[in-house]
Amino acid sequence: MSNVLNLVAPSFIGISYLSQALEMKGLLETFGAKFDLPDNFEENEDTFLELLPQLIDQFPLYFTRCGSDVEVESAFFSLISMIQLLSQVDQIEETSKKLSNAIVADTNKERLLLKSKLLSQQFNCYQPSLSSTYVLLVNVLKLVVETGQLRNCSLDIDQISDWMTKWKSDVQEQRVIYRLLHEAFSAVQQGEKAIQALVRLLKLYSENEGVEAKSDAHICVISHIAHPKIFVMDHLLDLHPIRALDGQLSHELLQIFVNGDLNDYIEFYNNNLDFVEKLAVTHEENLRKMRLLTLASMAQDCSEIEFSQLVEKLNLATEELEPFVIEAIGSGLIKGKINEPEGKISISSTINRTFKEPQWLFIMNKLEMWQKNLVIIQESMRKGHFSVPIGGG
Amino acid sequence: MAVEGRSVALPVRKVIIHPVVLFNIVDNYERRNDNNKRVIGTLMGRYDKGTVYVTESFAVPHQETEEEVSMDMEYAMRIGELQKKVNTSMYTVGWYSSGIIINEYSSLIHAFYKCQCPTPVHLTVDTQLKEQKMKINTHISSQIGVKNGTEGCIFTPVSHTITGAEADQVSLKFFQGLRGNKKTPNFNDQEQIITSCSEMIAQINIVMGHVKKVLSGEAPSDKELGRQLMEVVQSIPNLDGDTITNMLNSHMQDLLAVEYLTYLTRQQLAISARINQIL
Repeated sequence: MSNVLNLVAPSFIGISYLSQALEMKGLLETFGAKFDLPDNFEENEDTFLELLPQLIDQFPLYFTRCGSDVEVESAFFSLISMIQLLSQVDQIEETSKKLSNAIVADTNKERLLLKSKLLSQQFNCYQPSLSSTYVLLVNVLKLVVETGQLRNCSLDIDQISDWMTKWKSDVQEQRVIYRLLHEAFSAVQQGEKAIQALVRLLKLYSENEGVEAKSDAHICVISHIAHPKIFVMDHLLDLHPIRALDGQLSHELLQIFVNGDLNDYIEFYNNNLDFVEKLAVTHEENLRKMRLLTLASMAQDCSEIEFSQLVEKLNLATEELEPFVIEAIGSGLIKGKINEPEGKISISSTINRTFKEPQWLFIMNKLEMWQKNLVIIQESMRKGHFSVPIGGG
Repeated sequence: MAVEGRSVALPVRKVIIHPVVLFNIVDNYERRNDNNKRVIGTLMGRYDKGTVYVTESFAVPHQETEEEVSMDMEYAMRIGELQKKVNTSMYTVGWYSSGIIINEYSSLIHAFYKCQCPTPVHLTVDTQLKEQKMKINTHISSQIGVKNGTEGCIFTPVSHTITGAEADQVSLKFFQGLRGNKKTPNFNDQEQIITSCSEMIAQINIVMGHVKKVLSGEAPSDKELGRQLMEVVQSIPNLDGDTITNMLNSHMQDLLAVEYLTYLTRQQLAISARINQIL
């Protein structure tokens, strides 16, 4: 048999593929598996092709009943090595999908970690050339969600979206992946990445479909507001599912976090006490974030802010002021210095809560200046070109 | 890790390779004996929560014929120990081989490294350049076969990235510039700055082109991109042209003076050495 993929995951065993399959058949039989093979089968490729799917079907039985992880693992890889020996690519795709699905379909809750490890490694054997790897990836992600552990595989959202382009996955398939990614990252407590996956998911909905993802959109808005380190949310307003929320309280709240200031929030809170109390984030945390955001807005308009202004606008006690400014600088919202003697802070830069034309113009001006300065440096370097004045080296 | 590590296999989900390792392998391949088809060696580095960092490597002599393979295990172990003395946080993490083919001999060599570290990584580098790009693969191995049956092993791929420190980039770029040039150019600080300046200017031009398009409405205004650009432009110092010229002039004069004085000292030393010789 030819081996299309043997270069990707080469295997070495001192016996023929048929003997390898027969040995495994013998083992599975001791665990109660039944096989459907003629009594006097011939030792040829056809027998192997008949036996292999049966081995895969019976494998979950062994998985449940065999006590040793190491033995299960080596039997699993034995199957993978046999699958790789198939001559047709679609045969390989079909059987590897079958194996992966068989492992996931097994409802035994023990050994989830082992399952997760095996499937991740199986996935690695095929990426990213075959489109069947989509199914394998879905299964890997399902197990990450179930185990809540990322010990065995590395998930990179950008890389996965590259693969999906290669597999020519349709929108539905992509949604499945991003939803799973969101669940997986939530399960392993990587909030920021979970949110990133959710935003990608929402991007996949067009104007007319926005309504379908309303509940996802709601979760997305609330998790952005609740995340202690995310301050910029204006990009959410462009997403169709979030536009579909227009008129609802969560949309109104998002608007406040994008454009409003502390007073807007307090007004909202007083009008909608019940709504805010039910959110996954407390009123105090919202206040903290709104104070920081209000400071960022103030910093955008002027380069120096007096302490008294802050006290008044942010409703803070004077002794709370310094820790607050330190927090703002520490979280990257503003860059600047506290000028204690004169009672003010000087701002050198700030994040932009909304990003529109003035910001692009600012970038343009800065780039022009930068380029001019570089030309000056280059020129003076040329002029100052140094040659050794006395004799040769 | 290398000593007590025989018992438990650790999960490996990612390998990060330092470019120096790849240089080493290519160099090793270039200097191989004529009758050797491939070269092998030990990879050293560290292991951290499922990620293997490969930062160092050394070649191990070995011979392969049609019938058998032999490698100098004693040598591999001794050099490994010496490396560990130099840097105590470094462990054996696997081995490399030139060429992308993994054969039966590979599984034998891999078995040796399995005694050195729990989950050795096998790095293959296509030094023969069979394709346009130098193919680099990383594998880990697992046992295959059933209980009481024949045992074998399978190499399954793991994902890898090549990452170097920022400072490495400068020299890597320099090396790349040498491609095709037989003569080694002078490594001149000033020229370096001049060329980096022109590269920068060209790149800024590209960015400015895009920003212009955004401003005129030809390109979509991508907020994420904009924020990243904003971060870049905010990190450059706010200086006007005159200040820069002044700064450069004063620093330049200092620099020239220092360069001149070092040159003078060198000459003087050379002269006194000659005089001593004559006397």
